[in-house]
Amino acid sequence: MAAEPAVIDVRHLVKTYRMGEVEVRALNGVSLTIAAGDYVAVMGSSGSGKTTLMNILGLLDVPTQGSYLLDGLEVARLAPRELAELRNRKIGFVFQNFNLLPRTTALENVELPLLYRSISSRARHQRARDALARVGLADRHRHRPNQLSGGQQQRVAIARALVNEPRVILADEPTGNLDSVTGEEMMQVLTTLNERDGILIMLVTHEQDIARHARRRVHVRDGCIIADELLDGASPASLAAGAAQQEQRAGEGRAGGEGAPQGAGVVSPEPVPAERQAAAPPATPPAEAASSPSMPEMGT
Amino acid sequence: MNVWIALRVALRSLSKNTLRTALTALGVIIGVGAVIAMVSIGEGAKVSVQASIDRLGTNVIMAFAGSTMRGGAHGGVGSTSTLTDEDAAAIARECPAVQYVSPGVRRPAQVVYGNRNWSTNVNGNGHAYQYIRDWPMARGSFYTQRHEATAAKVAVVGATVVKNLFPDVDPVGVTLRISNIPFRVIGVLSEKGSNAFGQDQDDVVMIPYTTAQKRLMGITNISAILVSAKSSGQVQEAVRQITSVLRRRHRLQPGAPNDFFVRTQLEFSETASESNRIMTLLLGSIAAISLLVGGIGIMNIMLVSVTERTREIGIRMAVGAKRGDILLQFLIEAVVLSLLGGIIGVATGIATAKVITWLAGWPTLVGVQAILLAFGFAVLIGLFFGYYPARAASALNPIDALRYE
Repeated sequence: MAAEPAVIDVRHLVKTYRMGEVEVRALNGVSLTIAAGDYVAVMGSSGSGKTTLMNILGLLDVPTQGSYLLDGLEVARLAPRELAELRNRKIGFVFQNFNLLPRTTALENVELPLLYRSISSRARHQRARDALARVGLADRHRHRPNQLSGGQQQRVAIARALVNEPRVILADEPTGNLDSVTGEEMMQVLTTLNERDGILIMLVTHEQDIARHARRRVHVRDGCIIADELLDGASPASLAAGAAQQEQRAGEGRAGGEGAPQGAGVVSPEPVPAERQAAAPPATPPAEAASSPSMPEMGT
Repeated sequence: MNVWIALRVALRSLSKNTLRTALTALGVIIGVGAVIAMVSIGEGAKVSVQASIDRLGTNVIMAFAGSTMRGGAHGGVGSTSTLTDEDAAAIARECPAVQYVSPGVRRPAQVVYGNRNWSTNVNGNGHAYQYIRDWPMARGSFYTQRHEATAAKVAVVGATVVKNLFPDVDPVGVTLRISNIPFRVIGVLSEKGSNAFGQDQDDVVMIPYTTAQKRLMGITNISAILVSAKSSGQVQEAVRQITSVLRRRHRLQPGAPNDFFVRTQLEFSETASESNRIMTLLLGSIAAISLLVGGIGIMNIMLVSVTERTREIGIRMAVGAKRGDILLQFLIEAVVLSLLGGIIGVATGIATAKVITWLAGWPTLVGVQAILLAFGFAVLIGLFFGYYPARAASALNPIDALRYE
């Protein structure tokens, strides 16, 4: 575990869409490394490419060019069925509009990811109940989405995201459909998951108030990362880790920013893998150690 | 995702829209029900025809007077009067494979009793007729060899004649008139129903064939000889013996065509079952078309359902459903729909068959084969018409599906 590489490690990601005659470049050489247990907010205006980045990181989409190591495994060119398997095991999604199945109970919604792996129905129920308890909805199993408040629905969605004990939770504007008080509660839930269970959380938002909860902010514009900053309030351990990574990333970010206008495949000045790996370890131990008991299956 | 879970998911999503599920299944219900009901009518007809043919006796052989050839024109069966009661007697005497022989003549006639009258078939048969046809008496007795020898004016009546001529009298012992000749009724035949060709076999008055020849018709020939072989295994042997006796008696040269026909029960039943098979096939294929329409209904609803549930598909894909899982889910949903329709359809079909028997009096027979066929066909239709929508669902791009409004 000491030599574990970063959970998310993307290099020179390029994603182009063809809209009729015009080729749109949604991502233009994005490189980013995120260590286990990190808490990252991706910020940017609409059309900046942040959603495309999230989709690729969430394995819902594949990049046109570039590499993506998820937990050390190259996933940029995997087949749809392998991507589905990885989504199931390693990634949890939280959406702006909750995306719960209507007319389906909270428990069944949380069980959904478990349906796609072989697991006994007893264990499935138990894990779904545990997940609901972790988000404070132990008494709402039988409720359907239309019987729950917006905040409760998003909690169900978070429970669904973490029921498979993922490495990463990707939250796309998780508070966008909630009032500020409920949104704040939701951020508390996510923060607790990050701090107590060490789950890597990456959220997309354009609200400063929401981004404030993260330890790291990545700003995206025109398909490039234009800034990658570390925030105050991070725990000392992650701060140290973050700082170590930050140093390195700042260079990459600048390189990407400068290189962007020249087109795709812009290479950051000679990435140094050895240094990268050396930087990663401090990030993991405290968070991982704390979370291990509650993670009987890491999905590996 | 294993099939059981897919099945549960399918059942749950079907139960969320019960009216739609019911209406979709209705197409299959009607299709399967129609196939089973129609085939059961055809099978019922076949079996009842077969039974009535068998009721004639499996070892029954009939010899008819043959056609004549005058100036190159064939006459119909019975257009000659080549068969005589001596032929019948010779068959009885000389054919070891033959058990009973009954010479026969027939003619329609008006039968009168009191102020009632009834037009019916007057059949002159030998006294052995009752054994050949295995036709028991309801009351009284059949005429005997003595009646036959003396050309006695005695008659045995069928159930239909009793109903029309003697609605409130016991016919045994009364006198009725056939062509103004008085006949004493000595027995009533038990009810036999229609024969293979739909004729009412109970609409008959039987008299000794000698009486019919001498007193009613004034002829000496007979139109047919009804024969029973000693066993059903000896039928072919009996046919050969009868043919050779008749050819010799009619002095036919070798190579000359027969001036008579010999038919066995088997040939009748083969013809009858062939025409019934065609009818069953026709009815079944018309019903199968409605099953096909039911299948198209399933496809239609599944396509709508896939569009409607695009978001759901996106969510499932995001949390790890593979394309195969989505395909399986929708395919199973379609198959469950058609299975549901199939099960209710089988019940409906059986019920319809019973109602048809009850209302129209047609015999119906619900065969296991027909049920399995209709059921299997329904499932196949679910698979066939469910595949395209399921395929469309599984081919969705997860991002587009998630954003679908």
